[in-house]
Amino acid sequence: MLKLLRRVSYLLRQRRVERDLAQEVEFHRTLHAEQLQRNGLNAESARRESARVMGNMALAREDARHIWLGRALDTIWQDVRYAARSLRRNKFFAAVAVLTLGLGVAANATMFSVINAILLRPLPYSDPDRLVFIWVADPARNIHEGATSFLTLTDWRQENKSITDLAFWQARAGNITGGVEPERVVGALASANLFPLLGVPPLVGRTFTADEERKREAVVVLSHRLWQRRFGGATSALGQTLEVDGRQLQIIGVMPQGFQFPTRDVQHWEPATLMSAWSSKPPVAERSWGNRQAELWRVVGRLAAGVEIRDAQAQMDAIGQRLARSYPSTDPDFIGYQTELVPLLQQVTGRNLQIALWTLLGAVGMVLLIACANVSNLLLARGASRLRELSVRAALGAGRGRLIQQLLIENGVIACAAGIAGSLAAVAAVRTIAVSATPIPRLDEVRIDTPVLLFTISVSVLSGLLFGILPAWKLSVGRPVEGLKEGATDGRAASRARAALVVAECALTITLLAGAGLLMRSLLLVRSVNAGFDAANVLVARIHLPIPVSPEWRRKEWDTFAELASRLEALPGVRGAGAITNLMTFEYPEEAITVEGRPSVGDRANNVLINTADVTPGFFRAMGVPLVSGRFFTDQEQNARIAIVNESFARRFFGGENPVGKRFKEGGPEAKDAWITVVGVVGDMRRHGLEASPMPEFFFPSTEPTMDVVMRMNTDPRSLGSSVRDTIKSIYTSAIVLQMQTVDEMFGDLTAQRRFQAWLMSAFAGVALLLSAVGIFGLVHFTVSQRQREFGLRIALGATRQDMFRHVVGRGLRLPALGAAFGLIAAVAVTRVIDHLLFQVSPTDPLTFAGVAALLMSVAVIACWIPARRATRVDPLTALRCE
Amino acid sequence: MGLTNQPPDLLPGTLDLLILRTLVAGELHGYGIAERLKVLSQEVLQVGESSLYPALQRLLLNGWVKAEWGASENNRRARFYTLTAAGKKRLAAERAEFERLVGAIQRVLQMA
Repeated sequence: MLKLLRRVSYLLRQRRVERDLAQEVEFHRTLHAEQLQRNGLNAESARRESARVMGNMALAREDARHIWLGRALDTIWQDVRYAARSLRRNKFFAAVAVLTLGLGVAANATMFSVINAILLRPLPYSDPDRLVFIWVADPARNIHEGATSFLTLTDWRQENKSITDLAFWQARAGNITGGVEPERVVGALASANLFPLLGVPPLVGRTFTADEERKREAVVVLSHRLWQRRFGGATSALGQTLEVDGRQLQIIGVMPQGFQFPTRDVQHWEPATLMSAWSSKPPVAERSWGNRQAELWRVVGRLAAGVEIRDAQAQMDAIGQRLARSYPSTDPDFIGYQTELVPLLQQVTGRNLQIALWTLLGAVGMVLLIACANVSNLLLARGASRLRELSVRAALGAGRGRLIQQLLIENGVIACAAGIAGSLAAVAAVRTIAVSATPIPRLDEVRIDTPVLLFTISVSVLSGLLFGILPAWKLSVGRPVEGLKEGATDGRAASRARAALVVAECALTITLLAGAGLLMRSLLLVRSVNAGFDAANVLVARIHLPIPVSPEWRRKEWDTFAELASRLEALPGVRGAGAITNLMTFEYPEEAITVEGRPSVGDRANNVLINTADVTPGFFRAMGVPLVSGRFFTDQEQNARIAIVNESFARRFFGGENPVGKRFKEGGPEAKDAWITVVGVVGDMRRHGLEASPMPEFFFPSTEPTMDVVMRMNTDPRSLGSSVRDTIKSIYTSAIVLQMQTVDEMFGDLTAQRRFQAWLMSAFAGVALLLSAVGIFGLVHFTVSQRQREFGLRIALGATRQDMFRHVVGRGLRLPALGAAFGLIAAVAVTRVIDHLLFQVSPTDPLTFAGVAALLMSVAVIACWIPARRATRVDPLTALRCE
Repeated sequence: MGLTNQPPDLLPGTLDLLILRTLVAGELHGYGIAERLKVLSQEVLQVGESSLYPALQRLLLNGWVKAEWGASENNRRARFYTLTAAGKKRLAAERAEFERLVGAIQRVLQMA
């Protein structure tokens, strides 16, 4: 080990060591000469004799070096130093090569660190690959990710042998009070075995036991974040109480930092049996434990060792069929007994994101290939001018292996420099991504760690070999005699290789451009979808009113929101205000309706998803939703048996008739609910995402404790944020503003993943296009400079400059055209992979394909232009005089 | 130019041993080591410079000696070598090994 260190330190001070040795030997010779003089020789012969005795110093120096380095290492070291010298001489070449490759390495390292963070790094549970979510589903009705009842999940637990254990939970938002600042957070009711099942012990304290769960002990486990925020991370928090919705829960433990289940929002966990305390209607909770229709619980399970998820799914299917026979249900709201098992990682990241990430990694791989092809081409072109140098070395006795070694080491030096430059760029890129706050799961965990470093090193080394091996082989083909001739060129083989590389580059670029184009078009199409309301300048504040339950509390709630709306409308710049229960919905609605005088029932069993929401009178006006017929609600109509429906609802349930004045009721024909009269029809809103078609909806004049208050402004909504807060507080002091954002921001969030994919892909395709342009430029430029004499001759023989220009550009465009053709064929095969990620665009969209081909060709024209101009400026006299 | 650069009449490794031994008495420069070897061996061992300096490099690499610039007897800049602790240990080990070897050779020569 010490020896190795000494060897390395030798490398660092080689020049000094060699100088020391030389001085030392010179000193030795002087003493020897003096000795000889004392013995009677004259000064001159003493000097000569001593020098003779000393022998060949150059050899001694070489021997000394071999001692320090070993022979093989020494020649490599020589080559490294030689390569560094020769790159220093060719600063421009070195800079272009290192930049090109560095770009490729940086893109790959960044993309890989993203994949590593999102997909590869294990989730913070023990053996996370064996964890699966068990959802109730009915694919025929397009229902997925449904919850189930306690009775059904108990059957699963007992009957499914391929799942060792399963835990259940449900998340609920609640208000934490009793501290400095009241806040609304999401908590979960969970079975006691959830934590052991996930295999994560608490950081401090303990988690609750099955016994505590059975006895309904009011205990709670905190997330690390909540503990830090409300208790400053003090251990004394244990034993204190957390007040949630007025209930006192005793804190018994804190989970470690980074633990999250099922999502990051969930900040505390309490025994599932405390559910009754949550509900405003206690009997519901009491009934639910023994009611198969009460689909309240979400389930996570752990696969038994050696069991494939397919086998577990098969068992669940069998159990589901048996349950369907034993407990048939006619309730249209009931989802059923079919299940879908989803691996934890897929649940967390989503399938589309996985496809997108691997596609993007493939894309950066292509960018790297293009970068390699470019550097290869540079090396080949440079090799043409280095042919003499190599021939001289070969003529002096360097073997082919030695020449290849030297060339490969030169490439290694370039690859190393590129690797370092690329890593530095990747560090910067990763930092930017980590703080970008893009709502993509786990993206904030992105960082450069050991796997990323290893990946980057392998990519650099591999690229060094990839771009280096062809030029090294081509150049080392030993023809020293030819190479020594004046004006030698590197021959047909090398120029064919260069042309092939440019064609390959262009083909890869076209493929990338096609992918990027398709994603971009999808993004634009999604953004151009008519949302059904005017999204400009609308601010949304999610407000919670903690009004104590009393006979009059619903009325009070309605009045408070009404007053809030009128006070907000009085603010300067606010044109309208209103409230809705949830402006954006992603839940699968579970409504069923029956229209008066018609046998048909609209519900999920009939493949109709119906959605409902509570709104205040001003809502539609504030959102700019058009009134098609009838009227809006008035302030006096709180909880009246009237409704406003949307156009989809009118079309679906009333055919061509005007539904105003007609009646319907919630539930099936046998339901005892009172009839509801339709008073108005409004336009469709796409409140559940831009990519799904609108669904039938009906709206009641009512409120919930938590509402989204929307305000239409004349100006930039952000500027009014604080006055909106003040107004809300002045009306109801303990009101909680949970969130405030513009509708544009909300929609931006909806398309965040799309934007992430489309822009990254476009960035990569842009880099590829740039590199290809450089490649085309380099090749044409090189050809022109090699054919100077020929061009001179042609001009002398009467070719016009225009002819020359056309000739060069025409020849130059041949390769990109060929590449584009290959690329389009490849794209047809490749874009199918991203079919899932596209929106209303075919993966072989002719418009996109034609567009990207045109883009590549126009860039190619520009890349040919400059060298072609040079060809026309060849002075025939100068060119011919070179001879 | 072999890697070892031993004078052909020396057993392998012996040069290192001899150099280490000359340094026991105190620091010496390269010329001094050569002279000391010549004198002590009564001019039998004439170590050429082309073997002496590579050998010294080898000893440096192994950490058995260390070198420092200083002033020579007649005030010229010279590089002085001293034995390190590791070098002393190495000398003892090599010496034992050498004696074992020489003893063995002698026994063969006497008995055969």
